[in-house]
Amino acid sequence: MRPAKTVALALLGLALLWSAPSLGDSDGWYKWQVEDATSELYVLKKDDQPVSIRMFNPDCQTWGHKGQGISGEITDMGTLSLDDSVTMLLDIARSSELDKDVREDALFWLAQSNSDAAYVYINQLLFDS
Amino acid sequence: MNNSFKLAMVATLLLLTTSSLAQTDDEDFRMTALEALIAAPPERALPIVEKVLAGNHSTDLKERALFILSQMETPESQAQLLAFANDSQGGLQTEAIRMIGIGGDKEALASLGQLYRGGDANVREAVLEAYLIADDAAAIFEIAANTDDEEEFEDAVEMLGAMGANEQLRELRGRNGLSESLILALAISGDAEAVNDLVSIYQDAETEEIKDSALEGLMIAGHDEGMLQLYRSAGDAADKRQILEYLVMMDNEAVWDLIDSALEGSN
Repeated sequence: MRPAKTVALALLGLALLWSAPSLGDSDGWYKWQVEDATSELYVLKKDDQPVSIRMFNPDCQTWGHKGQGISGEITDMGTLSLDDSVTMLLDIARSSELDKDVREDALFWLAQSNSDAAYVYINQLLFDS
Repeated sequence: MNNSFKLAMVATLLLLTTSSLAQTDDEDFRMTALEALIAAPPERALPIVEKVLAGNHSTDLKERALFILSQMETPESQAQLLAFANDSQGGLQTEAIRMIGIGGDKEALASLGQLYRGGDANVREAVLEAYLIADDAAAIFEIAANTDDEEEFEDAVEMLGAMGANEQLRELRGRNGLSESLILALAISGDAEAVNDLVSIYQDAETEEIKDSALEGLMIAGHDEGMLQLYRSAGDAADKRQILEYLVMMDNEAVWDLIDSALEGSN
């Protein structure tokens, strides 16, 4: 019974990992247009890991990319549902092996998402640990 | 001590250090989660902040929660901040009071007057700081104008000086007359008219304390001309010496000529 449970848990873990939109192979900025939120989500990948996150919306466009620390080539990844963007940010925030800065970036944008899932996580962080 | 015991000790220490670091990381991450609420929708953020303030959390986390509350700018958040300032005690109470200053909500600021009157020295100091932060010179003027306590008056006047509240300081001068603290506050406030008055304040002073404060005020304001004018018009040798000392402290260019003249006995 124990091997079966292990396999089931591994599959569940894989499924959870699979649920988050993934980044491309090369290093650099990746961009998604987030549906229903009129926002653009930017994730910087370096050495095979997300290291920085930025979110643009029409209100802060005047800052421009450079003002937000975005430079170099940007890979357009198309559109992403709001739920999927939250899932991606949750995955990053929860990944204790990632750099603290990128996890904090994710946490910041999660709080702005107004998503129930994001607030369940924030409540867990503050009150369940 | 045998090697096995030493190894066990090292392992235990490592475990404790790792555990302590992990706890610090957890607390940092909790802090980030709370800070992230600063730009979150208030209806989402407020219940969480209230829960943090009511719960068994660290003082640091609660202080940050008070800051978030001060930035929400909703009637509910300001009411909550004021309730916390009224009902809590110690460091968190004074922090809540200062946060009302940072928030700058006029109604909440006005409510601090009652807290000031019933509060201890720490609360009163925090209320004055809140008014200073909010640049509410009128509220500090009210405190200075209505107190019989000399120390309280001095604290309020000192703050008005730091705020450059010339109008309020002049009003207090008209009502209460001159005092040492008021003279210094006038000098600190940079009120040019008041600084020019320091010369006549010195000349007309009836007490040594007022004379000393006028000289100190001239020094604070960097009013070399006024100080030189007093030196030249001083008849008393002790007064001349005292003014000369101030001119030395002010690093006035003419001071060495004056000292030479004084030594030669020609002045």
